[in-house]
Amino acid sequence: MFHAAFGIACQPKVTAVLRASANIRIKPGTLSLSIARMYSATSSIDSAEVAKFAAASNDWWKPNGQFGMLHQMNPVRMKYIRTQTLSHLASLPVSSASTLASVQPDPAAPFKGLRVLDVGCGGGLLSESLARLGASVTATAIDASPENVAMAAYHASLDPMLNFDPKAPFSLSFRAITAEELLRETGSVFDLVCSLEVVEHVNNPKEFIGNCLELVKPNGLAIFSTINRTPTARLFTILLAENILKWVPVGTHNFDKYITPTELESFVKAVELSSVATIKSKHEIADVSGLAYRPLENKWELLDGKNSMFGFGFAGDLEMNYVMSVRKLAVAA
Amino acid sequence: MKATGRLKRTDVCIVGGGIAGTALAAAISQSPFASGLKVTLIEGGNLFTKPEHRPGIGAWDRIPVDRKKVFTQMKIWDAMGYGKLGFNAPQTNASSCIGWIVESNWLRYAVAQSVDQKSVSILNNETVESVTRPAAPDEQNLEWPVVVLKDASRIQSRLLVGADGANSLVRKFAGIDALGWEYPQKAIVATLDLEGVEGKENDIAYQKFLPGGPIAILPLSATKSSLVWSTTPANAAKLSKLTNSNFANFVDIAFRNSVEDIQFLFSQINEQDGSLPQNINIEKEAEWGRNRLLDPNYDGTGLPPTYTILPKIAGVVEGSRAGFPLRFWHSENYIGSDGRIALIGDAAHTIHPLAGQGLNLGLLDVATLSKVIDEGVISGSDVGNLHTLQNYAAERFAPNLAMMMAVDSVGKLFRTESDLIVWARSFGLNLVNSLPAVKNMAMFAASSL
Ligand SMILES: Cc1cc2nc3c(=O)[nH]c(=O)nc-3n(C[C@H](O)[C@H](O)[C@H](O)COP(=O)(O)OP(=O)(O)OC[C@H]3O[C@@H](n4cnc5c(N)ncnc54)[C@H](O)[C@@H]3O)c2cc1C
Repeated sequence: MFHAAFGIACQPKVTAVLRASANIRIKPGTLSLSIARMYSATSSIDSAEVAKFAAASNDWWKPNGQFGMLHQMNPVRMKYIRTQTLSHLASLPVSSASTLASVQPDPAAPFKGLRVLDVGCGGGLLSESLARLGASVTATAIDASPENVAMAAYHASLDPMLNFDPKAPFSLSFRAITAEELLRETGSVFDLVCSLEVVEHVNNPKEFIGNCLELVKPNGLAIFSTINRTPTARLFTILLAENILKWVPVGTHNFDKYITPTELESFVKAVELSSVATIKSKHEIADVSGLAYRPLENKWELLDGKNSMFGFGFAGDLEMNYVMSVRKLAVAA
Repeated sequence: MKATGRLKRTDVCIVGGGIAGTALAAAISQSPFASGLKVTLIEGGNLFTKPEHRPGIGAWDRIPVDRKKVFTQMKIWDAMGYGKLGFNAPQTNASSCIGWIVESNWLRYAVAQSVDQKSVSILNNETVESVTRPAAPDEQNLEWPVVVLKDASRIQSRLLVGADGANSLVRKFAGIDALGWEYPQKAIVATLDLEGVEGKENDIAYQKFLPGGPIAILPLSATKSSLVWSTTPANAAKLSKLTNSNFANFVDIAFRNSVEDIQFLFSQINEQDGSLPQNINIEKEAEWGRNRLLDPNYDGTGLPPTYTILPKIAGVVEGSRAGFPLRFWHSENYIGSDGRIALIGDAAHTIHPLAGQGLNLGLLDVATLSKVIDEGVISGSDVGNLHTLQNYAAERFAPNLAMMMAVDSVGKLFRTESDLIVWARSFGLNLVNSLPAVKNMAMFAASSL
C-alpha cells in the first residue's frame, strides 16, 4: 500500500530551451536523431543535454529504482483501465459508441480507434502501455514541463514498435502543454482521459479535475487515481515508504494534498455546474476501487472498494491508494 | 569480428526450435492477446523433418495412432531388494490413464504444424552464432539483446527466449550460472519390438532399478516400446557395440535376471567390437530367464511385481539405438537480471530421464511463460521487461527445482548397493504401494504435469 509519485520528484535537472507549447513528437530511430529532430525547431541542444535526458530517463525506468513501486503497480491499474473502458464502451448504445470501430474489440489491440489523453505522464509508463493497447495517445506533463516530457519521449523513442506518426492508426505523442491550454486547443475530443497519481501533486485539484473532464468527449470516460487523506495513508506512504523504508524519495508526498474519495467526487460533480462546461453532460461515478500493495508477494492488488474495514478498524479498501472512473454521459438538449 | 549485417527487430526471439521453443511459438501465435506480437523462431536443425505425414486438425491429432500410446499401468521394481511399486490408472479418479508416450520427433513435428506463421517467422536451418548487447549504431541505446546469425545478419528483440537446450548459448550470454553435475551415467535409448505383451494390448510401462541405474520400457504401439537404460559409461559403450539381436536379448535379460547374471554378461562383452565369447549363448540365456519367471519356487529377488508377464524383447528397430550423457543441473535464475531474457526447457534445467519428466517440466515452463506474456500484453506492458518476466521466474523456479530434487534423490537411492539402503528403499516402495492415497498423490505429481 505504498505509493510512488509522478511529476514532482522525478524532474531531471535539464535546462532545455523549449517553448512550453511546443509540440514534441519523437520519431522512431536512434536517440540522437530523434532528440535532435525534436528540438531542431526551437533550440540548439547539444549531446550533453541529450545525455542528461537519457540519464534521467534511465533512472526513472530502472525496474528496481526510485519508481519501482510505480512500475509494479502499473499492470494492475492498466488492467483496471482496460476493464473499465471496455465495459463502458459496451454499455453505450451502438449509435453513440464513439469512434470505436467494432462492438467486439480485438483482444490484442482493444483501444484501437480511441483517442486517449494521459495527463501527468511522468516517465511515460502509462502512456506507453495505453499506446500498446492500440490507442492514439497524447501525453502531457502536469506542469507542462518540457524537461519531463522530453524524458518520457526519450524513453518511448527507444521502443521501435511504438508509433509516433500522428497519422498512424495508433500513435504516441508527448506534449509540453497544460490541460487548460490543451482544452483551449482541442476542445472535448478524448474518448478516455487518464490522470493517475497526479491530482495529489497539483495546486488546484478542483480546477484540474474540471479541465480533465472537459477534455473528455460526451460518452467518454475519465479515470483518476490518488491517495486518500487518512492516518493510515500518512503512516504508510510518508512515514514508512519515505522515511523508514526509503522506497520513494523523501518529500515525494505532501499529506495535506491527499484527497478523500468524497472530495474527488465533489470535484467531479462540480464540473456539471461550473460555467466552463461547454457541452451539457452528466458525470456518473462508474466505479471506485482500492489499490493495495502486498509486500510479501511484492505485488499490487485491486480491491473492489466494498470492504470498508480490514479487521483492525482501519485500512478499508479505499483507505490509501484508490482509483475512480467517471462516465461522461451526453445529456439530450 | 565479422562485419555487421542486416538488422531485424521483433518482439520475441526464440532461439531453439526443440519441443519447448516450438511450443512457445505456437502458444503465442494462437493466443488472442499475444498474437499481435512479432515472433521469430530460430532452429539450427530442420524443424519440418516430417516423420511421415498424416492429415489431422490439432497438434495431438497430427500424431498417428501408432506413434502415441496411452499407458494405464506403470510397474517399477528393484533388482536387488523386494521393493515393488505398481501404478494402476483406475485408482486415480482424475483420468483413466497414467499418461501418454509419444516419440519426441513426432511431438515436435506436430507442434511445429500448430505454429501460426502469420505472426511467427521461422528461420529454419539457421544457427545463432552469438548473442550480444547492443553495440552497433543502429542498435544504440536499446537494452534489447541482439542475436547474430551465420551470415552476420542480426535480430534484436524485446524478449529473447533461450530454448536452445542444455548447452544454451542464451544462458551463457545472460551470465546465468547453472548449478549441477554430470551423472556418472549414460543413457542408451532404442525402439524395441515386442512379442507376447501382457494383457490385451501394450499399455504397461516397466521400470527396473539396476545398480548402474534404471532401465525402462514405455509403450509406443501394440508391438513396440521405447527403451531408456541409464548405466555406467563403460557399460553404455559396450551396449552400443552389441549387434541388434544380442542387444535385444541383453535387454530381455536385464529385465528378468539377477544383478549377478547381468554383471557377468557385461564383463563378457568385448570392449573393442562388442562381440561375445563363443561359449555364451545369449539367446538361450534370455529364454532361461523368461522360463524362470514362471517357476513358482523362485524367491522373487529382483523380480517384477506379482502377475507381471514381461513381454519378450524380440528385436530392435534399425537405427533407433543412441547414447546420451546424463546431467542434472538447474540454472540459478530463469530470467536475466535486468529482464529481457527468459530460459525454458532444457536450457533452464536438465534432469535424469528416470521419471520421464524432462520435457514435461519444459512444457510447464512454456505454459507459464505464455500466460505471463499474455498478462503483459493485456496490461500494455513491454513483455521483455523485468517486472513482467519476474512472474514467470516466481511461478516456475521452485516447483521445477522440487521435482528435480525428488527425481535426483530417488535416482541416488536406487543407485546405491548398501544393504541398509536397499532394505529401506524396498520398504519404502512397498509402503507406498500399500497406501493408495500416497500413491495417488505420487501419480498426480507424475502425470498431471
Ligand atoms: C535419454 C533421454 C530420455 C528422455 N526421456 C524423456 C521422457 O521419457 N519424458 C520426458 O518428458 N523427457 C525425456 N527426456 C528429456 C527431454 O528429451 C528433454 O527435456 C526435451 O527434449 C528438451 O526440449 P527442449 O526443447 O528444451 O530442448 P532440445 O530438445 O534440446 O532443443 C533445443 C533445440 O535448440 C536448437 N539449438 C541449439 N542451439 C542453437 C543455436 N545456437 N542456434 C539455433 N538453434 C539451436 C537445437 O537444434 C534443438 O532443436 C529424455 C532425455 C534423454 C536424454
